[in-house]
Amino acid sequence: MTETRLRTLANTAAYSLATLFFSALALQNLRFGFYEQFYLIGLLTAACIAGLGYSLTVRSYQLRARWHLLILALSHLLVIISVFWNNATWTTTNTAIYWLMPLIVLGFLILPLRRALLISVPVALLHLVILLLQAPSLHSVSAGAAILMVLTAAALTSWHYDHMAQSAEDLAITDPVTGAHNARFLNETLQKEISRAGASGHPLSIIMIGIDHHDQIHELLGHDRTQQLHRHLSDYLFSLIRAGDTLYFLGNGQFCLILPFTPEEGVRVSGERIRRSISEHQWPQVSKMTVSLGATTHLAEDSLADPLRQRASDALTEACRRGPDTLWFNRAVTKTS
Amino acid sequence: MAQKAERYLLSRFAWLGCLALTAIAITSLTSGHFMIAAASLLGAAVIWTSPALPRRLPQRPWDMLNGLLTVALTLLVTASIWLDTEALRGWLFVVPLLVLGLLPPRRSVLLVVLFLAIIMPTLGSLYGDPTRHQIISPLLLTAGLALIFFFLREYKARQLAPLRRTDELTQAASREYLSADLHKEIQRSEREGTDMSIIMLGLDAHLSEPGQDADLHALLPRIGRFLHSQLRDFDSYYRVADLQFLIILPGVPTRGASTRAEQLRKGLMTLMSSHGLTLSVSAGVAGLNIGDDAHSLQQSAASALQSAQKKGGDRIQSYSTWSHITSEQATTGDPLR
Repeated sequence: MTETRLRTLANTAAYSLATLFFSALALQNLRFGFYEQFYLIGLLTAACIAGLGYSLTVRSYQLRARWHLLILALSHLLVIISVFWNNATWTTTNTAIYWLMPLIVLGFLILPLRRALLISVPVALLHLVILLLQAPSLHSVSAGAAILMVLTAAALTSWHYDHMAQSAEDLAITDPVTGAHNARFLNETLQKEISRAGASGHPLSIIMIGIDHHDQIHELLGHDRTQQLHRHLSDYLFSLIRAGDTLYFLGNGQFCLILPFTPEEGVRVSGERIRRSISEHQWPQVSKMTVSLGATTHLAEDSLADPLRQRASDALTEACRRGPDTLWFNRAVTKTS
Repeated sequence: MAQKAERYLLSRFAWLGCLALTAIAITSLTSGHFMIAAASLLGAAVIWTSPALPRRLPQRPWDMLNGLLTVALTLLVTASIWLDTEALRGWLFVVPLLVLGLLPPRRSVLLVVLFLAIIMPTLGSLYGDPTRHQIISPLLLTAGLALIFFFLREYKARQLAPLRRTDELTQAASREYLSADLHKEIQRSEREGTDMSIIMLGLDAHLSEPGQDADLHALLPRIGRFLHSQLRDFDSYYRVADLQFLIILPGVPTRGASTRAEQLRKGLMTLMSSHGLTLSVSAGVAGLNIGDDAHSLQQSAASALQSAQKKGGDRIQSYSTWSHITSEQATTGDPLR
């Protein structure tokens, strides 16, 4: 499950729970005749329903959704209003605190840490001040401490979650769309392979693969279907390469192949085979598609990954310049002179 | 996992919380509010033993103490509904977040459910208290939201577990990858027709003086760094048991691996003696034979290490199905090449 989907699920569940329990509370208040509180809680329920609807509409870009902030800020505001609605007595303040507690947790669950803090810290402090002004007793201090503890616990959980999400992203070595390895892992492996080739004296080759007319294809198909195309191409490439070769997706319609133990002749043969099979294959999204390939082989004086990668990229540029559906091998002799 | 600066900030906050709660405890003790005093004191103790503050080794007792204190706080807050009508109401909201955050997953969910099951009927039966309705729904909602938060975190943790390629203490690659990597390496050496061997390196901990365990664990990060500095960057090493490392050496025959193991052994012993530990190191070496797979190769190295340690440790043993001469040569320092 992707992060966006996970968060959509969590947000929907959170807003649904909030709607359920706040509407139950509103009904209770209606039954017992606390009309002011019924109206306020009714508004709070409405805000939660709005949040639920909003979470569902932005499900494809949940992580960038901005209006949750407004919805939650309004809900917090309703709680503050409830304190002053009826000449702020000890009871109304206490009731407001009970309403505030789940809202704080809801805020941290749905918003990013900083924004949640931005809303809940001022509201919590305001309540603390009101409590202490109304009844400067230990009971108020205890209630205030409880608010701050709920706030801290929710903030810490959110912080911990963010950390885990961040490290999951950092540690990932495969691209979620294509299933091929990602660009970061390419650098790591290529460096290892180069020193291995240096130590063992075996040849090493890499191929850069670029989809021809990628920009036009992207415009024609749109984002989602282009991703499907990438996925298909990646599956197809996996079926073409030998055991021991590794495939990387670099984004923007580009793939990279590392072929250990492969000399120049080998990479030319492999590259030609890939080029031809792709151009002869029937693709579900575009029916016909071609790729350009840039290949290069590791030289004895190469000790770093970047120049080798650059050489392959240059070869790809040259291949594209010579027209689509081309393989170009960069021998890198011209660079030295 | 967490950055240094953030950790620092976190521990400052934890100290602040501790101090504030202790202050509340002292004030309420002098004015006769014993429930608030006990709860604040327990709260301070929970923070003090929590992972937010830098721990002293060993960790286990601290975790247990923290768990016990959390349970005690839960019990106290639960009991407060019968004993003291108002003072600790707000604390009811803290319990689900605290328990789910600090206790191990299964137990924490069970405890929260139990807590709610006890609290709810009691709160419902508080006749004549107008605020009782205002607390029931928000409390259930807070617990529900805390559970969503908890599941979100658990899901992320599960997603993260297979991504951690390195052992946190020694930076060795984690064990889950060993078999897959070894299999890949064997395939590759068959494809390229090159040698390959593995070394199983073990500290002879059973021969050491008792009481060195803590020192040894403190030294593990250095051992990891030492191995990292000594190996080529396409060699990989794994921490397979508490004090055992497995090293994969592609392209190296058994004899070369024995020499390498001897260097590593000497180096490690020097490293440890420079830290005041007298401990010998043994190693088992196994080369790839025809018909070996990842499992059998690992077994060979492990049994070689075992026989080296049985012979009194402080030596290298190569695994061999037909000859048993290498270990004596290795320990007498015969040049093997």
